[in-house]
Amino acid sequence: MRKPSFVDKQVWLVVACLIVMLTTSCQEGSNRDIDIDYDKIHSGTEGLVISVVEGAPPSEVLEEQEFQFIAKLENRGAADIKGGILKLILDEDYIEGEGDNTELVFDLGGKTVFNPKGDTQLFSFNLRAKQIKEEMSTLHDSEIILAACYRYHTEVRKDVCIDTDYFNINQGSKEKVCQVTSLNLGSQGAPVEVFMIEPKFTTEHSQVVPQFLIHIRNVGSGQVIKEDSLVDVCGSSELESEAWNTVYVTAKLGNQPMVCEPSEGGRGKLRLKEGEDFIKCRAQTPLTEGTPSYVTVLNINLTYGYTESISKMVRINRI
Amino acid sequence: MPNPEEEAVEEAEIEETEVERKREVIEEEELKEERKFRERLLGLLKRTGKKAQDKIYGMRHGALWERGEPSGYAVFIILGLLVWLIQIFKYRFGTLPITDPWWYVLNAFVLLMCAVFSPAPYNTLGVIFFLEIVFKPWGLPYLQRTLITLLRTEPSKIVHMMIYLFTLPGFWPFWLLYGLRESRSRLAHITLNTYIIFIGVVFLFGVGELGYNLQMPRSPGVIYDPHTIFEGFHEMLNNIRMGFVGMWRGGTRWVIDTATGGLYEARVEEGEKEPLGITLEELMPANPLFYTDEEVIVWGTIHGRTLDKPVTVNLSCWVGQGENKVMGTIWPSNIVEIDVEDIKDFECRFEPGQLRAGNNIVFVGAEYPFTTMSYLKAYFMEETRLRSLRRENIDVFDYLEIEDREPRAVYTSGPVELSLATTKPLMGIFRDRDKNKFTPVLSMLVSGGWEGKLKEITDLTLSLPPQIETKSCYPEFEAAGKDSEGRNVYHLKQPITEELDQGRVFKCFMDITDPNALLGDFPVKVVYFRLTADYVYYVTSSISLTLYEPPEELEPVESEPSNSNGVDEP
Repeated sequence: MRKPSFVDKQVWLVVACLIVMLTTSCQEGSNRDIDIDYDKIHSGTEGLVISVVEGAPPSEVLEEQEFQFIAKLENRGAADIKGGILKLILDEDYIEGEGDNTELVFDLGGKTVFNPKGDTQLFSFNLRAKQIKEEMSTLHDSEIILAACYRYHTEVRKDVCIDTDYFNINQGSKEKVCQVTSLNLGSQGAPVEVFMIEPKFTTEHSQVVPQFLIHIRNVGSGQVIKEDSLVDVCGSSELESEAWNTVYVTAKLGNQPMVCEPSEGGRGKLRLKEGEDFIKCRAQTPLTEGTPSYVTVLNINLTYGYTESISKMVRINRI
Repeated sequence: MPNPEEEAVEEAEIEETEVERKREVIEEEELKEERKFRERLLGLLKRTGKKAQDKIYGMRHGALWERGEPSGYAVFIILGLLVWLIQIFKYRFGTLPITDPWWYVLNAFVLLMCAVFSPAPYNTLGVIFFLEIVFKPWGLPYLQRTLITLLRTEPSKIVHMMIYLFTLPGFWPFWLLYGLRESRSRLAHITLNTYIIFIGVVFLFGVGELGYNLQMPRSPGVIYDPHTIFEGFHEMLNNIRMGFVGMWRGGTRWVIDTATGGLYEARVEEGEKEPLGITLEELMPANPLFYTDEEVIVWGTIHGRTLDKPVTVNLSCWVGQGENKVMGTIWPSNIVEIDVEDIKDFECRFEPGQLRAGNNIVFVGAEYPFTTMSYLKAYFMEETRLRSLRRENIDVFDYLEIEDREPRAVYTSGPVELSLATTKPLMGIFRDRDKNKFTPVLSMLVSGGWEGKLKEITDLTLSLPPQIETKSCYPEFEAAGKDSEGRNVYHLKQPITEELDQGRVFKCFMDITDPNALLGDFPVKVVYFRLTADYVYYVTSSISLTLYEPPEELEPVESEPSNSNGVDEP
């Protein structure tokens, strides 16, 4: 067998390099596309947007007149809505729903690469104006409120720097690949967002535990509710304080799930105060001191319920 | 060789001397410090005293403008004039280009500026008036309206102007005059003189106008009858009394509104362009001149507007009061039926000789039953839900996008204001009935208008949602079953005839009999309370007439026949 010549070796080397270059460049290219789409989709502070179709309901109706209340629902956020509840709150002395139909369940897809605007759907309620009770009145202004309760989530993916020498004690001994800093984040395509990530490192038994303070706030126009309180909030049952402003948080550092505290059912549980608060999540696997700094991805997932309302005044005129 | 004991004593003495010296030095230093401090303190006191002296001097002598710095006072006068002009503008055109609340904000601002820019002690008055206008924003219009009501005999516009002028804090004459008098500035004196002349002229015209309105007999041959003068003054006093009653009612209302934070604020229903009820209009004498021996006739018009049911009006007319009261006759009938919208003419007649010579004030009264309806929207929410929202500092109205955050009672237009109120617009109730110990309270206010008098509340009909009953009411109501919609109906147990001048408040504690049904399946439930008031209302109108004694008939003089040349015949 002929021993490979120097030229052969060089040819193989070039071919190998080319293969490596091609494969890596392809990978990089596809990653960039995904990131661009991810940022586009995960932007904005809206989730579900409710509006009333012009003229439905009309601003004025006559007694005994049937009319429609048509709500336009748009999911402008990055998450899908499944099993959302639409509840119509009527001034029952003056307006009634057809067959007492004042509640609907809806699904609405969020923004995706293929549907960059999110799903939009119209929901209609058939209503009827009753007779004006006050015999001397010629008109009555009646308010119709539409409330929506739905489950939603916020997804954050951010590169973070892990540095066991966070006090820079061994400064100059090694070139660090990244610097540990607090991250201020933009909108994430949801009404509840992570607006800051503060890295903190603690040392336990010569091991460094990376942890993050995740600052969360409600930037939407509605109220944050507990994800399993949708029916209660949009209904009339008794409600405890926990039904409001409760957000569940899960986080992963690289592929490792983090422990977020305080927790409930294995997830971090956060109660927003005045619309914002923070939660601490720490890595489950500590790092040995001296581990060189590196960059990894921090994935945060917020799960919550959300409620929003819209109202419309209708004037009922006596015939 | 020195004795060691002596040495020790010597050393101790030296040490003591040293300590003594040090103490002296310290004491001396302390004295020096104290002296320095005292000097500094004295210097400070002197400087402060000088400032205080300057300030007192400025206060006593109006130093600001005496030193040729009239800017503060000029600003004060200009702003005062501005307020006054706006007020006149409001009077003249009946409205302002800005809405009333903004007008008060402006007024308050101007007064504050007056207080800031004017020199002491006048700025104190500015502050007082500023506080008055801020804390009693509706006091001033009440006063003005009352003063105008005092002169209900159609005073001239000048009298109106006077009233506005004298009741305007921004241009309160005493404030201004005192300020001007104290000043030595020539400009101030010119202003003062001009102002006094202006006020004088206005006052003279105003008095003349008042005299005319008192309708003093001025016809030759008619003496000043003390009775008629008394009647004239009586009318004026009566007007004053009525005015104060009006002010009292208005004031009472203001007090009620202040005390309850506007709880009883209500609005007339939209769509009612014209007020409902009865008005007496255009009383006028049938003749420009009446003699005591002829029939006295006063023409009148009754204008009525009702909704669907006809209203029967009982008319009467009279002169004088008490023992001197002389009743006239209404022709064609004292019972008038007004249906929907109607205008009817009538005559008030006095037989010859019924009225005396001089000034007579003829009163016409119209008594009629009327009905006013009112309703109030209120919100109910499950109590734990409401509490949880409050705990989380979430505004329910914001969260549910409810526009009508403070529903006010809406009542049908009429002579009476009928208001309903709950303690809060949004009330929390537990689903478990037994837990609802503190049940909501429904308050009702019936208050008469300015135009007439509420004589009797014959009935109040309270209609509550099917799941709400009354627990206790004062004055008492009695249950009257359910209406066609299943709502609980209550009627007033006894008609009310007393203490109606200042309006009457009724209160009912409510019992939520079925909280689950009331709340239904809604996060918030809208309910309505309805109230109907049946009452008797009374309006009067008056006109002043002057009666003259009939002229004495001259006996015919029998002239003797004469011849053409004037020479008596033999």
